[in-house]
Amino acid sequence: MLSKDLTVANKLGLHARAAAILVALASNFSSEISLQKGSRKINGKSIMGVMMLAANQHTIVNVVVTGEDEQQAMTEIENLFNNLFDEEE
Amino acid sequence: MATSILTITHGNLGQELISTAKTMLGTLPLKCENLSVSNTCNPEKLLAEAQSLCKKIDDGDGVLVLTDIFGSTPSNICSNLRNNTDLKIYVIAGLNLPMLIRALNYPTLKLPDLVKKALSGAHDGIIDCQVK
Repeated sequence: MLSKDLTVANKLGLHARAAAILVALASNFSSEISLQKGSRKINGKSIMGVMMLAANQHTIVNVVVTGEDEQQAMTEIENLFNNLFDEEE
Repeated sequence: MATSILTITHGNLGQELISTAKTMLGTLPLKCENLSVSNTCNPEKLLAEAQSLCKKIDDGDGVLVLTDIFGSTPSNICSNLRNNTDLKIYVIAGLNLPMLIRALNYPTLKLPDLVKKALSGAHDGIIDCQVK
């Protein structure tokens, strides 16, 4: 199991489009992936779940990945956060 | 083989929801079509169009038919469609964007399971934003 705090850095936060990109990436992996903000923990492969986090810019979410491909999954998810979910700002 | 989605709604409500879903997701993972129903429509003609659209988009696993409000003309067209088609279809009323997004998030599910996801998506998407 891998756990990491990642910061939502893009201007619009984890809005619909960013959530869709994250979920599409997460769904490629067999590992279980969850995101947590405060007391709310959601399934990282559910777009509705990710959107319910309402994670604005500067929010820190705890990402937990568990499974055979957890290392690759965490690396790629972290890269996505760092790349502002492929958005310019 | 996959399930497809047909929205039958007042005006362009369904089309706008499908377009919005496509913008949000970047693509539509399931075939989606909309049938717009106006005040001056001919329900019999629209039934024929609905039957034709279902045949067009059916990919082998049936069609999830979503309508906006139960008891309305679009909803009644859906009821007629259920009684006048050989295809596998399932009708849900109360279409909202969370319902559509949830359904599109599970493109590999068979129709009965997709129905459950659509229903839960619709309900889960209704949130009292004032409650902390």
